[in-house]
Amino acid sequence: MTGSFDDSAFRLAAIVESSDDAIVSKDLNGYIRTWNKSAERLFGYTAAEAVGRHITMIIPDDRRSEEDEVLRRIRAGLVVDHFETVRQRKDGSLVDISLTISPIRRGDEIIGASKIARDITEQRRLRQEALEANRQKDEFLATLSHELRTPLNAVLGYAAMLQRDSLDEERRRKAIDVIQRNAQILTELVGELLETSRIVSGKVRLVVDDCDLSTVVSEAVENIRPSADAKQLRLEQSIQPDVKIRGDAERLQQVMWNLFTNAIKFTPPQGVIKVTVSAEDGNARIVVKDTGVGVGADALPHIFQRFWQPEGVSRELGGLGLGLALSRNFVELHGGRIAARSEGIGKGTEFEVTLPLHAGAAISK
Amino acid sequence: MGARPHVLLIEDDPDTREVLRLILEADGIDVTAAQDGLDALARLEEIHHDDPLTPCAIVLDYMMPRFSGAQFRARQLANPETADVPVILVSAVSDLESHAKAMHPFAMLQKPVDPDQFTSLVRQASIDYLSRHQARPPA
Repeated sequence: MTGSFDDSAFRLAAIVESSDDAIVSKDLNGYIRTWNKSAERLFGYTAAEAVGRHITMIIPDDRRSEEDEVLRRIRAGLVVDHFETVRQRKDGSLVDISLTISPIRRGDEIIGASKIARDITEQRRLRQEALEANRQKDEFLATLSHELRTPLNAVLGYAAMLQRDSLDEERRRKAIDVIQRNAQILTELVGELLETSRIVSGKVRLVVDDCDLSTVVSEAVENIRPSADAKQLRLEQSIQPDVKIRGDAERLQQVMWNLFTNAIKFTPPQGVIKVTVSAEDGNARIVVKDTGVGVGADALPHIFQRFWQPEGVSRELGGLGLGLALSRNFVELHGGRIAARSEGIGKGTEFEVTLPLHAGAAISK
Repeated sequence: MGARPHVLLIEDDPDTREVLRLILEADGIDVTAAQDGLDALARLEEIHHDDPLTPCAIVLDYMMPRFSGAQFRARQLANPETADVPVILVSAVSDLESHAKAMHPFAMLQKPVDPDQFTSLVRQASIDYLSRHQARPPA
């Protein structure tokens, strides 16, 4: 090392003072001796307030025993490396930190400890987000497996029975119907997955043309009617004729299909699903309202998230949790908005889609 | 007891229930079907009451609404009358083994099932049950 002691001590002090980490030293009894600028920022105490006080002033009551263990290790000449814990600021709030504590020596004698504390709030938040994303991915893959294997089982089972020629005429016809229906379910699942993948990679393109929204919605109502009838649901419509926009009729059909299948899935038998189409204030407005199970206030902000499904519902009612996310993407590509409202559990749900009546210029291609 | 083995089939998906029933019946196995675990508990008591050697096996879906496969199995095991009827677990769940080990099934099959493997396992389970109850195994 070059330079005088004073010179190096000055440099060291400058480094400590300008560090982004909180750097604190304390004696072997736990009394604070130095307190840098970052410690002031992190814990809210000025150096004048902190120096001379006991380090327990920043340790929450339920973590006091940590300090005894730290001091025991320091006295034994050991380092505490990247210990993740919680400390308390002057205003009482808690902060997640990572601590590295080393003994301070004078010759062979240990006279205190230096403590470097890093705020890891952001790091923890990111880690939590990554864990949550991973959990959602696992849950999605499990759901996907279930949703693909169930119709496949019917398709392959009936195909094997047909191959063995072991069914009478009536059952043969039924087998072919079941195979067709389940193959259709599989096709829709694969379609949803591919659409999602296209959206994620930014490859969705709308085929924009003059589009009679009233006709799109009326056709979607007729397409979904058999499913509503099968579940004994009443499908009501109030569709203003000739509501015309510029848009992609096929994608808008898909949006309507998703909203209707969703309403059917979550509305118990004897319920009502009502669709209205109107034009007002330069916007086309589609509302799909059901008398179904509704959505809790805590769940409402999440329902348009990809892969999201209500707790406990996913595998019982089927679906991948992609329909509403896709719908939002398609509506937004048209320069429109989609919103969901519910008075709460058991009180039904209302979806509202608004699309600009003269959307030609607004549509992102 | 008749010449044909008789099994209880518990499956919530109507298409899967029907095709599994057809596969078993085509192989000479009689089937009583139930649409979920709760329905199955009632059926189990009924058919066991009519003939203590039936059912000689249970085909059980793992994931069902209202009353799951695991709930059914727990109730079945708690009843000494029917506790030792072997269960073949059939499921579309991806990591079935880790979920279902604690249910102590005779065998586990992942959907889509191979019809030959499926009927062969149901026969093995039936023979196992009937031989323990000192009946003549089915031909």
